[in-house]
Amino acid sequence: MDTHETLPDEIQRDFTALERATKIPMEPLEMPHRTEAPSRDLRRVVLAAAVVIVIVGSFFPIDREDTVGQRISISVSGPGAANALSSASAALTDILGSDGVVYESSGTHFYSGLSSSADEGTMQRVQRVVTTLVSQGLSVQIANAGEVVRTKGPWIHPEQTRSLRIELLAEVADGRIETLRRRIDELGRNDVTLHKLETTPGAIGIEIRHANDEELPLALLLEGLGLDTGGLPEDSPLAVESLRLRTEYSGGSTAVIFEDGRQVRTLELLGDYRGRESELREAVQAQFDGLELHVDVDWVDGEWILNRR
Amino acid sequence: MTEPPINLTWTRLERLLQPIHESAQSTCRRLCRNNEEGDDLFQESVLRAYDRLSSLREESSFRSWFFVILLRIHRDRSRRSFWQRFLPLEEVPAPPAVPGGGDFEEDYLRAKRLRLALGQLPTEQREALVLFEMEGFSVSEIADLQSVSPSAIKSRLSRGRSRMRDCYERWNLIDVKQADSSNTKDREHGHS
Repeated sequence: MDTHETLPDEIQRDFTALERATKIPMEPLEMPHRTEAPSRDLRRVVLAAAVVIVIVGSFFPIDREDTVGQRISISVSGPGAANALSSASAALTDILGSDGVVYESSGTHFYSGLSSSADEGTMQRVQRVVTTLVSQGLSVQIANAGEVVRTKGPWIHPEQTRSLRIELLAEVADGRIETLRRRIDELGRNDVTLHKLETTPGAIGIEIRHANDEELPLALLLEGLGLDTGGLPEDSPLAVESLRLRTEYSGGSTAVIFEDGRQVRTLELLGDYRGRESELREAVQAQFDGLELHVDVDWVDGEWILNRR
Repeated sequence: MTEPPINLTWTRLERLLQPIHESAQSTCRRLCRNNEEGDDLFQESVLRAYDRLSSLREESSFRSWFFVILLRIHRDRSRRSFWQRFLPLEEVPAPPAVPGGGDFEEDYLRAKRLRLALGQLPTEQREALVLFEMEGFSVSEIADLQSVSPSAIKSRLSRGRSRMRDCYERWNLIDVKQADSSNTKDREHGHS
C-alpha cells in the first residue's frame, strides 16, 4: 500500500479550496461561555433547563443563560411532513437569521438548529412554528446538544424504524426499484420510503423503510429480493442448493451477506448480533420463513451455511 | 455588578485549547458537510472535553486527547443521524462546473464538490483522508486517534483516494488514465 500516492491535481486543488473555505480567522478563542460558572454537572443542568423549556406546551420560555454553548435541534416526522416542512423551513430560516441555521430538510425528516445566541423572543417565534407543525398532526422531537429531551406526537426514532436493506446487481436495480415504487403506490403506503445506500461497486443498495409498527408488506420484500412466491428465479443466488453467508457488524446493524461467487445480496438486521449466533440464526431464519422460502440457516464449523430444504 | 467566580476547569481548558482551536475547528468543518455543522461538532467536542478534563493526565498530549474526543463525537453523530447516512435515491448529480480565475466563487464551488465527494466515503475513511491530506497528521498518529493499526489506516487512505478518483471520474472532472500515471510520486517521506 503506497501512502505516498497523491491525488490527481484537480482533487488536490479542491482540497486547497476547501482548506481556504474552512479556515478559522485568526481570532482569540471564543469559548462557549456561560454568564456564570458552570455547575459540576453541566450536562444535567442543560438537560434540566431544556426539559423546562419544552415542558410548557403553549409557549416556549427559554433561559438563555442555561443554553449558552448548546444547540436546540428540532426534528419532525410524519405523513405529509415534507410538504409542511418546506414552508416551516422557510419560516425558521427567516426567524433564525444569523442566530441559527436550518441544517437539513430531507424527505420526511427535518433538523434545525439554534445557535447559542438565540434569545427568548427567537425561541418563542420558533415555538409557534413547532406548535403549528404539531397541530398539523406531525411529530416533533426536540433535543438539546443531541440529547432528546421532548417528543410531541407519535415519534418513531429513525433507528427504531422497521426496515429491510437489500443489495441488487446494478444492471437489474432500475427495474427492481421501479417495481418497488409501483407496489408501494398500489398499496397506498405513503409511509414507505426507498433510500439508496452506499454500497459495493456493481451493486445498488436499497433500504425499504416505513415509519410505523406495521409489518412491511411481504410483496415488497419478495420483489425487492427479485423473488416471487411462485419459485426462485434463475439468477437468484438462492436458486443454488447451498450458500455461504457471512456477517458484518457496522453502526448498530448486522449485515447478512449472501454470495455464491457471482452475486452478492445483503440482508441487514438492526442490532448487534456478534457472539449471539443462535439469535442471529433465528432472526435470519425468520426472514426466510416470512418470505415462505424453504431454506435452513445453519452455523456449522464457524461458518454460516444456507441450505435449500 | 459582581464578577462571576472563576471556574478552574474552564480556565484550564481554555488555556490548553488556545493553541489548537483554529486547527481543531477547521478539521471539524472539513469533516462535515458545511461550516455550520462543523462548528456544531467543535462546540460539542469542547463541552465533552470540559466534562472529561479531569481524565487528562499529560497536558502535553492534549492535542491528541482532544482529537480523539472530536473524532468520537463525529462518528457518534454520523451514526445518530441515521437518515444522513442515506443518499437520495437518484444518483448524486455532478456538481456545477467550476469557473477559473481563482476567486472566491471558484473556491466555494470547489470546496462544495469536494465535500460532496468526501460525503460519499465511509466515516472512518473520510476522517483518515482529511487528517492525512489536510491536517498533516502522520499515519501512525491517525492510527492512534482511530485506535487501529497503521496498516488499517494505509488501507483506509488507499480506499478513500480510490473512491475519490472514481467519484471525480464519474463527474468527468478527471481522466483517470492520465491521473494514474502521475499518482505514485513521493510526497513527503516523513509523512507516513
